[in-house]
Amino acid sequence: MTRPIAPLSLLAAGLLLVAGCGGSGSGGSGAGSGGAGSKVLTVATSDDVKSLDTAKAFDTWSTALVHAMTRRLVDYDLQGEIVPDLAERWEVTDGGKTYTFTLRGDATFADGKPIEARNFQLAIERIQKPATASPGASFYSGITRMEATDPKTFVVHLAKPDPTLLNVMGMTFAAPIQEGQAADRPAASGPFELESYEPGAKVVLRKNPRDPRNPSTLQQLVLQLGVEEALQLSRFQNGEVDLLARVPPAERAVVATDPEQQDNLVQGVVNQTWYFGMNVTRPPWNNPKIRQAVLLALDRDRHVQLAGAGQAANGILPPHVPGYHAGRALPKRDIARAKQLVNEVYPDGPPQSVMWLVNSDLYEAHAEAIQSDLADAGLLVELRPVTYSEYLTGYKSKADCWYGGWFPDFPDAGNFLEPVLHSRSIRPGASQNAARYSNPKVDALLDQAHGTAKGPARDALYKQAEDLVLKDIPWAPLYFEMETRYFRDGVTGVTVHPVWRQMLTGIDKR
Amino acid sequence: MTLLRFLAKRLLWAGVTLLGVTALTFFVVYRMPADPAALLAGPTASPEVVANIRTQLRLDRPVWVQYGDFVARLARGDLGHSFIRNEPVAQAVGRRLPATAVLAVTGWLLWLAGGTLAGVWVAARPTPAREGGLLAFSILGASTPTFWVGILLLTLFVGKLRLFPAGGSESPRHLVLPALSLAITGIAYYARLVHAGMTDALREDYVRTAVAKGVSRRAVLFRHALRNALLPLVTLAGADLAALLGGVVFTESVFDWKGMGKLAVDSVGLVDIPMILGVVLVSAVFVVLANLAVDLIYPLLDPRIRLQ
Repeated sequence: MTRPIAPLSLLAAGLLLVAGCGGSGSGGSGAGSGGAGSKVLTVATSDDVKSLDTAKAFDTWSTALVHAMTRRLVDYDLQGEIVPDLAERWEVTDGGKTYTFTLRGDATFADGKPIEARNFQLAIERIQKPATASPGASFYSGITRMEATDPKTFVVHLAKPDPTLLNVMGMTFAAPIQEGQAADRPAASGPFELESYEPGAKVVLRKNPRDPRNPSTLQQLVLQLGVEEALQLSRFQNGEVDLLARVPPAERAVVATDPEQQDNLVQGVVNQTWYFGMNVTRPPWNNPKIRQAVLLALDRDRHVQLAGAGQAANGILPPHVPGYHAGRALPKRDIARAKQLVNEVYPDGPPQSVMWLVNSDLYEAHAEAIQSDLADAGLLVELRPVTYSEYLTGYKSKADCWYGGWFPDFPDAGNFLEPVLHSRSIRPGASQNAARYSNPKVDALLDQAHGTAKGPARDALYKQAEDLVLKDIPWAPLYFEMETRYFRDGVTGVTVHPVWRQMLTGIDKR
Repeated sequence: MTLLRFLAKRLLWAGVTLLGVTALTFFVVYRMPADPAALLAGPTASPEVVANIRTQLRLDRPVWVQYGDFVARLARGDLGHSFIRNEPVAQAVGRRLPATAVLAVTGWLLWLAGGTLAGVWVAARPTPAREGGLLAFSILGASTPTFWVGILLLTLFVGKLRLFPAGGSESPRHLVLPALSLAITGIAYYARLVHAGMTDALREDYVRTAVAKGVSRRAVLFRHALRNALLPLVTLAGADLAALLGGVVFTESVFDWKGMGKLAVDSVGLVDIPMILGVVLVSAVFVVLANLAVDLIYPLLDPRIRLQ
C-alpha cells in the first residue's frame, strides 16, 4: 500500500525550490530598480498619482512628477526663494498690474521644439477654462489678459496688483504646454520625461537629454505607487528601493538617533501647521475663555513626540512662510488656569462636543492626546474618526472641533491665512473657514496685506493679523511638521524642500 | 434541448442578478459620505473649484439620472471612465484581471490539492495524532485572518530570511508568498471538509464491498470514497474561486499584488465611483458564472442529480 505524501512537506519543498531558483539575496527582480550601482533611482510611496496632466496635478506625488518633467518661468531655490527658471528676467509695471517675462533663448521641449511665450499662454488659458476642471483655476482667475508679443516675451495683465503672481507662475499648473498634446503626458520641458505610467502601480521617468541644465546623472527614475509603509521599509532594507521619502514615525525614532545612519538621513521642517480647530459659533467653543483654556491645556511638545519629529508651534504660520515670527511664544501649559477658566464659564460642566479626525493611527494618537489634555481641563470631546474622503468635507461642514493640518499652496502668509481665517471664506455647508471665525480687524489687515508689495511692510501686516487671531484662538496650533528622508548609500542630493513637499530633481546616485 | 433551455433560463436570471447588483452598488456608493470632487480638488481648493469639478464629473445631477447613464453606457459595453485616474474603467480592470487570475487560481489549486491530500491522508490512516493535528491546523488556519498570515510570511521570508522580494507582482517569485498565504487558510478548511466526507464515505457499504472484492487501497480511497466525499466541495470550491477572482482584497493589499482586490480597495479610498462599480460588476459576473458552472458539473459527478 502506498502512503500519500504529507501535503505540508510538498509545500515546503516547493517553496524552497522557488526561492532557490530566483537566486540569492534581495529579490532584485522585483523593484525594477536595476540593482545598486545603476543610474536608476527607485522611490516608493503608499499614495497614488491622480494625474500627470499639468492642469490637474495637485496632490503631492503628481506635483512632484510634473515638477520633475517641467520647468516654469520661475522656481524656488533650496531656501524657498523665487529664482528665474525658463524666464531670464521679468519686469513689473503698471503699478504691479503687468508682468513682462523675457524667456531664455536656449530652452526646448524634449522633442526639440523651442519653448516660446505662447506655450505659457496656452497652459494658463487651458487652466482658466471651466471645462478643464483644473484644481488650480482660482490661482489664475486674477489674470485678465495675456500676450505673447514675440516668441521670447510673455506679458501678463492683472485685474489688480498681486504680489503672489510669481509664486503662481512657479506652480506646476503654469508649466508650458504644446498645442494638441495628450492631456496625461506632459510636454517635457524639465530634467525628465515620461517613459511609462501604470496607474496605481508605477511611473517611470527617463532623463530628458534636451535639458542642459539638469546636473543629475540619473538615467531613470522609478516611482512605485500604492506600496504600504511596512513593505516600503522591507524593500528599502532589501535594496529594492533607494529612497524612503516618508519615514514612518516609529522607524524615524530609531534611525534618527542612530549615529551610523546620519549620513543617510535628511530632516527638515515643512510648511505645515497641525492644530486643533474649533467652530467658534458652537458651544462650548463660542466662548473666548474656553478657547483660552484650550490653548493653556494642550501639550504641544507631546505632539512633536507623537509625530516622531517636528517643531512645537509658536504661532499659526510655519517657519518657511515669509512673515513667520520666530520670536513669538505661546503661553506655557497651565492646567490649573485652564480648569479655572472652564469653571468660570460652565460651573456645572461644559457640553460635550464631537471632534473630527481621519481614521489613521497617527491622527488617532494626536486626537487622543488632545482629548486627554482637554479632559484634564474639564472639557469633554468625543472622537469621530472618519475616512479621509469623508473628513475632507465633513470637518468643514459638520464638526464642532477637529484635528487637522494646513499648508499653503506656496510660501505666502496670505495664501495660508485667507482661505481659512478670513470671514469671506465662511460659507454655508462646507466652509473653508471651518472655524467660522470672523474678526473685521483681521479681515482688514489681510486685505491690506494682500495688495502690499512683498517685503517687511507686508510681513508686519500679516504679523498683526496673526497676533489678533492668536488672541481669539479659533485654532490652537500644535506643531510644525518635519519630514524625514532616508536613503541608501550612494544616493546624493536628497533634500526636504521648503516649498515642494516631495522633490525628485537634484537627486543623484554614485 | 433541456440543457439549452436550462442555460437560457439561467443566463436570463444572471442578467437580472447583475443589474440588481449594479443598482444596489450604485446607490450604496452614492450614499457614501464623501465627495469625489473635493478629493480631486485637494484639501486647499476653494468651494468654486470643487463645484466646477463636480459639474464636470456630472455629479450635480440626480442619482437616478446618473444611474440611467451608467446602464445606458453598460448596454453599449462601456464601463465608464475613472474619476481619479485618467483611464477607462475597462482598461484598468483588464490590466488588473490577469494578476488576480494568476493569484486566485494558484491559491485555489493549492487549497484543493492541499486540502484534499491532507483530508485523505488523515482519513486513510486515522490515528489520534493525525486527527488531533488536523483539527488543530484547521482551527488555527481557519481562524487566523489571511492578512495576518501574510504579515507573518513577510516577516519570516522577507524580513528575516530574505528569500523573496518584498511584495509586488512582477514574477513567479513574487507569487509564492501571497499564494501560500491564501493557501494556508483555505487548506485548513478544505482538509477538514474532505476528512469528514472521507470518514463517512469509508464507512459506507459500497466501500466495504470494494475492499471485499479485492480492489486496491488507492482505488478504494480515490475512486470510490473520494469521488463521493468531493461532492459538497464542488459547490464550495466554485463559489470560492469566483470570490477569489473578484479580487483577493487583503492578500493583494498586504503583498502589493497589483490585482482587482487592490484596485477595489484603492478605488473605495479614493471614492472613484465608476471604478468601484466596474470592479463589483466584474466580480459579480464571476460569481454568477461560477454558480452556473457548478450546476453544470454536479450531474457529471453524481448522475442522480438532473438539470432543472
